[in-house]
Amino acid sequence: MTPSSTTNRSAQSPVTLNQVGVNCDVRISSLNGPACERLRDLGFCEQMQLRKISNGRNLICTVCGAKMAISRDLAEQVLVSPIR
Amino acid sequence: MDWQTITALSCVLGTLAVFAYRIARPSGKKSGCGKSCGCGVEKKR
Amino acid sequence: MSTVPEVPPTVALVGNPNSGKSTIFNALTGKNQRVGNFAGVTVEVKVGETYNPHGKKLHVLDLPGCYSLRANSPDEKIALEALTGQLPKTAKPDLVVCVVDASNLERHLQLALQVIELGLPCVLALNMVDVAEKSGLRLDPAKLSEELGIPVVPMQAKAGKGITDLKQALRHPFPPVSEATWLANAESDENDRRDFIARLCELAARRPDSQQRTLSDKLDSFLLHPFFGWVALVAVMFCVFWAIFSFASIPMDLIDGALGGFGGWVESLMQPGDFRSLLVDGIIAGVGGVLVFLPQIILLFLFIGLLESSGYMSRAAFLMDGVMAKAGLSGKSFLPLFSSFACAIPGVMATRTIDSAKERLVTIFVAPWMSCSARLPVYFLVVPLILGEKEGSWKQALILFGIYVLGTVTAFVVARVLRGRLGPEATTSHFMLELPSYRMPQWGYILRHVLDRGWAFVRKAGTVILGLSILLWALVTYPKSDSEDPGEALAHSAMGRIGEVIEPVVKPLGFDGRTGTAILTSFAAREVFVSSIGIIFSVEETDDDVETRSLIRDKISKATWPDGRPLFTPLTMVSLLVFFIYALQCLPTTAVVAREAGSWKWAIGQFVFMSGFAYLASLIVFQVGRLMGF
Repeated sequence: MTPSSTTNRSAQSPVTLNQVGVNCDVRISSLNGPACERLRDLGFCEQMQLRKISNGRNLICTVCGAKMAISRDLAEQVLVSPIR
Repeated sequence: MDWQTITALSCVLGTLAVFAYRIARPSGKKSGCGKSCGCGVEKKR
Repeated sequence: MSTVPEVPPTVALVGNPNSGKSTIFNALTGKNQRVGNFAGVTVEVKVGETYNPHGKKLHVLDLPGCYSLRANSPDEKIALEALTGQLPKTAKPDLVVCVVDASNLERHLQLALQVIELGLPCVLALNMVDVAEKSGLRLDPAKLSEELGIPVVPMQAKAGKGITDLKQALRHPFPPVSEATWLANAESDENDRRDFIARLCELAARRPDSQQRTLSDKLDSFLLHPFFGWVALVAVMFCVFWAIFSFASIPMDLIDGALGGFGGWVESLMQPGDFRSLLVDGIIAGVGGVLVFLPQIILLFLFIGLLESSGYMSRAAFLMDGVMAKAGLSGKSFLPLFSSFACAIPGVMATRTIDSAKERLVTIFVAPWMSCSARLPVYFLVVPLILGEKEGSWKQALILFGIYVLGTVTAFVVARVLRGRLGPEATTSHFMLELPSYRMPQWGYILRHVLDRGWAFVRKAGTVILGLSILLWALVTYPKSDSEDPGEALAHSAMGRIGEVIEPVVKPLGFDGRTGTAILTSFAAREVFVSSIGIIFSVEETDDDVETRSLIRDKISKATWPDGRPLFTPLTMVSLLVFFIYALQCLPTTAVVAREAGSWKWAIGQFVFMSGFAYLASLIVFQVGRLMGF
């Protein structure tokens, strides 16, 4: 089995928001980093569903119906698992 | 000195007095900038 | 038993930014509002009054928009202090209205729950229900109310719907304090709140499964595009400048004509003499010279209001983040800097949203280089002279655009240098920005804002500039000489003497003593430069219906040095523009900077630096230009 199949591995090692492709629907599995509280305040909570709209220096995602832009550093702290 | 000169000088001295008063008066600057520059945020009370 | 006058109950409004809190506040208080001053620092806490359906007066506090009560930023701290009664001169609220965006409950409820946990009576204003319903959300306010333990009022504040229901909820007796049943264990309030919100949204705000592309999404695919987004941004900015130039010319001509006619009428009322000269050459020339720019000021603020209200500004901030990063700033600095194009004072105060202290200081330091609206009279006087054409052409818009670009680019360069010298950040802060849906401009709010600024401009003209014009006229007129020649009379006056002293200092910049004196007066208020020039060069009597402004321009284009060389060459004009772009000539700004930066050292340093920079820049431009043969 190729180890790159994310659906099989999503239970063990979720990917960061940066690594997810554009227009992917994902669910936040955990937040890991110094800016967790701030992220949660903005709506990036565990179990929240979000869709990544664009990549770049700052990412754009839709979370809870609101469009948010966050930096790559912040996105690195958001661990997600794809929704099939 | 005719009446025009007297009136004009009175206006000038009055203006000077107003400016001097506004500079010297204790700064009870309650609002943001205190000046009427018109920032929508800070309206003088 | 002593009778104490009954103090009206206090109602506080809390909510996320963009939740519609201010719309509700305005709807409740109407004209009965003012900005309150608390804790020595002016925070945007608005205070107003309203009446409940029984006619009982209520004090209403509009607290700063915040995402939580965790007190991460100054705004959140103030909100928390206000709610716990720690804010000086403010009573602890008797009731809190939590304003939430119904289409964003998962996020907005965080704050609401934290407020309820404080143990105050609460009411939930479920705003923007129309947006929620349009996006397919199925809301159940009754269920929400049951689970939260507080009254819930569905609203559509922008359309005025639900205000009456909200006032009903504000009647005595206030609702009982909710028990905050979601706080089960004492360990993690965060987890409890999160789980509760998730469950609550399942029950009372079900989201549709599919995510449709809204109109906002379609617009964003273009406006946020890495390339086309930039094209759009530059195009929008340029169009704004061009529109200001073109559309304003008709009302400006009208004002000109009216002022000229008024001057002529006043002249006809009395014999030549000092008082008539004061009225016509001093007051009308001075104040009128500034008032004529009112249409441009209004248009500028109108466009800024439109851009903000439509939701485009956050897209601009997003696009600018990359550029700002090169200056050592972030996209968060964009809105304060952009506001400074209107007036540096609200721009400097808007820096409170910047988390990083060092970035905040740098932003405050360079904000005055975003050419503010007070410079516009100077620009609009000088720019046409460079080209020698009538107003409204796109070339002039281009020059004006270039002026703004020059100020902005220099600001970024200096920001970069300064940021480097301040050292690295103690705690890293990251870029996060909400991009609200595009919405139709709220005309009522915009027009009120524009009228406020316009009126403030007129009031300044009628007070500060009026006074300065009178004083300037006196300096130009007295002491009198016996000579008939206007030039000699001017040289003999106080202004002339000052000009003699100043001239060696400003001559390397291409200016003579008269211009130098006018520049000196503009340190009191930039617009006064136009008045001063008008008064200083207005040595002859004016004709009846000639436009004041172009008269000023005509006069100074004919002005000469003693040896007959033209005084205001295109190079001199450019040198003058450069000076005004960089000079810090606004004492109120310096005062606000001192307060926001926390020390006078910064403010004075900024003033000295910018004045020196302006002098040097003007010097270099003029001398190099002369060497190159201009």
